[in-house]
Amino acid sequence: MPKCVIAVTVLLFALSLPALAFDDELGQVAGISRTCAGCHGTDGASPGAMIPIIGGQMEEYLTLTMEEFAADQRPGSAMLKFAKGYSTEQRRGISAYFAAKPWVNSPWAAASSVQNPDLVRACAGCHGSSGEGRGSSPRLAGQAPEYLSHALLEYHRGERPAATMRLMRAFDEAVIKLMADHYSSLK
Amino acid sequence: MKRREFIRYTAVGLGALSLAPTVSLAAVASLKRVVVVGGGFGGLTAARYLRRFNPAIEVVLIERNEKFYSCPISNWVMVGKWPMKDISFSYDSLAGQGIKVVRDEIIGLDAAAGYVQGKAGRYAYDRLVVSPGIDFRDELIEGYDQRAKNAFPHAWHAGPQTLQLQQELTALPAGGTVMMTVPASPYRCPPGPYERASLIADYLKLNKPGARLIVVDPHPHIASKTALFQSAWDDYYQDVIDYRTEQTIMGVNVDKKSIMTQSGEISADVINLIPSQKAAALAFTLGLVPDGEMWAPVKARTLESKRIPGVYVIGDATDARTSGPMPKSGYVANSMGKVVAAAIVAELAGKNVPIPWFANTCYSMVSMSEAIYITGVYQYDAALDTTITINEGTKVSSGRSALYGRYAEDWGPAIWSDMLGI
Repeated sequence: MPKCVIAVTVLLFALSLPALAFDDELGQVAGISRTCAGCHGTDGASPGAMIPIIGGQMEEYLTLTMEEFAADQRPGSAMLKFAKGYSTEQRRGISAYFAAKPWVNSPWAAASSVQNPDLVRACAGCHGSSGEGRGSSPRLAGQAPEYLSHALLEYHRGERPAATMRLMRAFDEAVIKLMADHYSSLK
Repeated sequence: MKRREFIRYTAVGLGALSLAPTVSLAAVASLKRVVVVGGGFGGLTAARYLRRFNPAIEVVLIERNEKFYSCPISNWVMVGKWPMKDISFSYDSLAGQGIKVVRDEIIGLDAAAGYVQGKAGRYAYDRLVVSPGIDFRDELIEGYDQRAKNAFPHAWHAGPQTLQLQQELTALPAGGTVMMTVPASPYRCPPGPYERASLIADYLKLNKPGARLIVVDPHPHIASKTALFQSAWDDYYQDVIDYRTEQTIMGVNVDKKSIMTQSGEISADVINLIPSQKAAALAFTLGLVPDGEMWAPVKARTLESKRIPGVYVIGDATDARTSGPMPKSGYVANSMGKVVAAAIVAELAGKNVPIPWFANTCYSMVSMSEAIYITGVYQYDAALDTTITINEGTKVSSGRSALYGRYAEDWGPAIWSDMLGI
């Protein structure tokens, strides 16, 4: 019975998959986090040019971002409202959920092949030598270029809380665009 | 659920999902099939997430149309902001995710025997998810026959009618008049008619000098994102939009290109008549809507029909008095698809059904470039056995902006990718 063979194959395949965190996916944090996909894409792999990729992003950075949105400390759109709809604990849970997902490079990044390693040498200390991110410094490699430009311009204009990122005030829009294109083209 | 079935499902939970290292024939025999009827925002999401949660479940999606046309963003197509191809999708991507897609129209249900009947075949299920969408209350409008439907398209199902209205707008004579009507609440996509009015008004302003848009509304004021739409209309379209409130549409006259309300007859060169709504005919055919009601009641925790065990209803067709205070939107249907998938997977595995969470994000264009938005957070409250609004997360935007318009452009591709796996 070929049907039976197929069924066994399907089942074997299903059971051979890396342990599906079944109970985790049925938990409340996962339930909340899945509602984000309508804007950020499945597992936070945003296909958009302006809405950032959050799947596989640094957990500490995501948590900080959520707290800043909740406290109206940075500009944004729907996230300024959503962040307030969840408790601090839930926001942390959502951040951990997306940090644990695989990073998928932006489909827009291929368009920007311009690399300017000299321009971003100073960034490596916090963001890693290939823009892979570290702690509260987000991953930049493969992020959507328009989002990166927009984010850097927010730092440039002093609209986002920034420590080190205050240095963006020294660069003009054209240079910022080159930096964004550089990082989005990294894989 | 019948006791016999309960025992069967429990056995699956213990057998297949406790990661038995050896696959027995008994496990094969217990492979479960979930049939999803309706390939829109709700049904597509449910089908995809069922497979993501448990690849051992067989998922069959039954859809009568060849293509999926997204209602959200279709207003943009009507005024030429985006091309039709950007909101048109085939169902081909689902096969790669292990979802079997069958093109058929469902005409009946035998819940006791566990199958749905289509025109082309019979589909047995262990669980059935129905995501049928909406249809129209034609009977409320005198003279609203097929000829009137063709002459005054609603375009509230995206597709050929979207293009028909686009062509009629293009052909509108200088100084011409367009009329659109707003359905009575509750209806699919509360801000949708007002976004459409805003975009048509901007289109007329840019392309048809002297043209007017008459908006005929049964509500006392703009029914969604009220202050934000009103402010845009005051600032941009005072000379274009003629807004008439508390109007009940009573009849139509195709030859005179007019509609009748309690205030009198209104005629126009182009008429977009969006009638009041009810759950799609399929929900009535399958017995999911009680006599005298318009929507399908469901259990808040699982979205299982209150009428037929083993059958789940999601999306716009659900009765908001039972499913929760969420608007009838594509985003909410996407949330519901995940909630029902998690509930079914948990039930089949003999686990507790998770606490449902829903969200809503809806951007509306108020001009060709500027948008406003609304957010919504909703949680099932176990003590109340109902879904409640989390007010802190349920807000409208502070004003309108071109930046919100850019986010709106990302919204469609994101949610479509989540539904279709593209």
